[in-house]
Amino acid sequence: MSRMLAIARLATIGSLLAVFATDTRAVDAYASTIQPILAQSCYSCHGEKRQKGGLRLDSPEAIAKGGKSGTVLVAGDPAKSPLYTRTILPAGDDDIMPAKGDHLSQDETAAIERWIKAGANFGPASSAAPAVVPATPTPAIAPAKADAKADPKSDATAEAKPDAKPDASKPDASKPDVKKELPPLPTTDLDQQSLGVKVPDAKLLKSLAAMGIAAHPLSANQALIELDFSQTKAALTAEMLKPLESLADNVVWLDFAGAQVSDRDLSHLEGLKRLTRLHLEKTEIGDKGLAHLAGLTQLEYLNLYGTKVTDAGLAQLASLVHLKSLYLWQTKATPAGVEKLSAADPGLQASFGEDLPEAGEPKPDKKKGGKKK
Amino acid sequence: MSDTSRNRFDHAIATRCDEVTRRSFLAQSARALLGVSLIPAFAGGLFAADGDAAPVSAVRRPTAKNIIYLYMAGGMSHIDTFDTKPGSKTQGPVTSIKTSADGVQVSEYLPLLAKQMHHVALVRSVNSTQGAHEQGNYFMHTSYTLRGTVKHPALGAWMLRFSGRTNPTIPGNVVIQGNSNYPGAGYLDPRFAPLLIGNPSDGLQHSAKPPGVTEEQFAKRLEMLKAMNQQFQSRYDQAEVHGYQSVYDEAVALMKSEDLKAFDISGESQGMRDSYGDSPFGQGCLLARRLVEHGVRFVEVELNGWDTHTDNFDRVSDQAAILDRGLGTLLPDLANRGLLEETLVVVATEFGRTPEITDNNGRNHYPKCFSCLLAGGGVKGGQAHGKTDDQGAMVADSPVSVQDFNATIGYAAGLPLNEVVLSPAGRPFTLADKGRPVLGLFS
Repeated sequence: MSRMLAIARLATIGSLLAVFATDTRAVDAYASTIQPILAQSCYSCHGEKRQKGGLRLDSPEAIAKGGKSGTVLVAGDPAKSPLYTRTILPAGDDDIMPAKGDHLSQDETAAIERWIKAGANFGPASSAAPAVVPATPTPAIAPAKADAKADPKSDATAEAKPDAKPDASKPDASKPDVKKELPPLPTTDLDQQSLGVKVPDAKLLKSLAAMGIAAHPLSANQALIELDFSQTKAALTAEMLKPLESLADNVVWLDFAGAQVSDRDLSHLEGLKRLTRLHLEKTEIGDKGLAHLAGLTQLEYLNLYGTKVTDAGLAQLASLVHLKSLYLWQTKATPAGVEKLSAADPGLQASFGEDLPEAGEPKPDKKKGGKKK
Repeated sequence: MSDTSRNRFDHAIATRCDEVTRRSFLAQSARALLGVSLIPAFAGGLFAADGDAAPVSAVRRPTAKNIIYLYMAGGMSHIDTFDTKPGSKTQGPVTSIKTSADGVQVSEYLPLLAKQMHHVALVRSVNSTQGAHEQGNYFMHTSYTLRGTVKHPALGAWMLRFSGRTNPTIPGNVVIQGNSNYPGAGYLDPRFAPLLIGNPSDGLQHSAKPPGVTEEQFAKRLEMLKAMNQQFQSRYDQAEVHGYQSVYDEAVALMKSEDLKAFDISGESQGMRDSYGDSPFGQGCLLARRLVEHGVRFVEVELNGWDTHTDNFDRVSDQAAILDRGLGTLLPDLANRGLLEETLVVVATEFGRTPEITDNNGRNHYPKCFSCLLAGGGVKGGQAHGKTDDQGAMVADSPVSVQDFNATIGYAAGLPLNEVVLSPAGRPFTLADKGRPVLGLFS
């Protein structure tokens, strides 16, 4: 790359940072960032002089029009916008753009992605435009990989090795930019909710993992997590439960299925304002324990099958107006107990279990089990 | 073995043997040295080592935590099962019955499943480009066509690669009654390969210490193995070599784990076992449910025997009865436990069968259109997506390619469909090739 070009790119990146550091402010991202990238890297083939593939990218109208193979820009959806997707293919791919010359840098492709995601405005973004979602992946947080070193690159390198022929003389291609992320699918509620939430402390998650409690990220920025106590083998201790308090902002799914959890232990859940799914099935939990759940108003899924709960306990859950699924198979709870809850929460579906098919009709056929043609 | 000859031996292994030979060598070593043969037939590693269990990029909230993938090997006749054509001459003697889903009918061969269709989203417009068993099977499992130069990973391996496993002492990827060509981990790390289980009623074979070997002796054997491997490992410092060490370590961890009982379906009541049906497939479905309860993320159960070139109607009715009982019990059983919401149940096959009935009263291979289904795991039940024409011969509405179907599964599991992973030769691949998920299937 010539020095001039390098400087030009630096300037582009500089302006980029300026744009995205301020995210929702009304700035003209197209003029300040996107157009310069297109001018520098795309116009030579998709501009005034040449229109490869019938495509011009040198005016908003031309971009909107697309080329012979269709539209190149779907506002709000980088995944469907070849203007973005074609730039992030791995080096050497037949379809990568620009087809000639240097590929776009990661900052440049990220800028295009963000611009499209924010609505692909060609003028100054209106204040109503959606906030730009930060797409920077943070280090993985599941316990086994809690240390920040576990970045995609090292993983990719490990990935590429196993099947490599030992005599391959070529240096393997699995160096830094092996893995480029293509556009994510539409972001979910959880991704939106996770904005501004602090990613959990990796050390804390690691210490939980050491006690058999796994954490799995559920949002793009990994701030929201599932905590899984179901694989713990002994009675839960304060040491295991206490961290729930400092993770109150993060835990949205929580699994105690089959764990040795007591009614009193559930007091540690009271601060979990974001909790939407809670597994308590096959535990010793009873009505006393349910009292601690009354404040978990975001709860949508509550699994109580195989517990000691009764209708009296359910009565304490009237505040859970978002509850959709309530599992009560193998409990003493009855439809009458649920009826009171449904009054305040018409979307509630309670399951008491159904009988499985009886043996016999229709007859199973053993002979055919492993039959080949 | 003298030092020199040992060196030469190591060298030969590292440089000349092909993949399979190296793998089987290692598997044999484990058997011989440890007295266990827990290592899967493919010897591809039981599950991810600790360092790799974490997702690199959880892209979005999954609608399904687990997948139970039921594979109908041989090519399931769509017209005689999930896409009946009452009144058409291609239908043959099979009649249709109403189901618990409004406006969705299935074959009379599926009476139990008919009662569960409110959980099920049928996909009647799947189409493949592969009309032979091996190729079709491979394509369905990997989203790529079979080729000589590279082996692609199947879904279970992708799932472990991206999501890790939930239970550290149990494999995350299990295949029951799978065939020997199962694509497994493909070019991904062997640690993501499935644990293969033959007969579900036998549980996990050879997972106990050999009789007469004391704890102390066993530890000694392990130590000896480590010492013998050390030199080799330090010389050939490669991910795969370390991968096998982690296979041994994890095999030993599993042998000592109480999670082993997840593999033992004798822990279920006789009534429960009877409900699933007295077939390897039915018992495999039951085992799949048990494994999912214990934190296994991906379980595949295979039902072979759908290649009905002759005697189609008798044979499909037999096959369908096995499927009906297994899946017709699995769905309500998962639902009772609150697991169906979080577990995507898939029924897939390599292709359908010809609308025309042959002189042998059979149907031949037919990849142009066929039926698969999804249930639970965030999928909206009670619907049929896509349509075929009156004869069941062409897709008439909303075609779903094999890649689209797999992308839909990946989407449900929250896997990054667009993340490019390079094969060892530097070719870029993704989980479902260029497939796009069918978002209309989700609630």
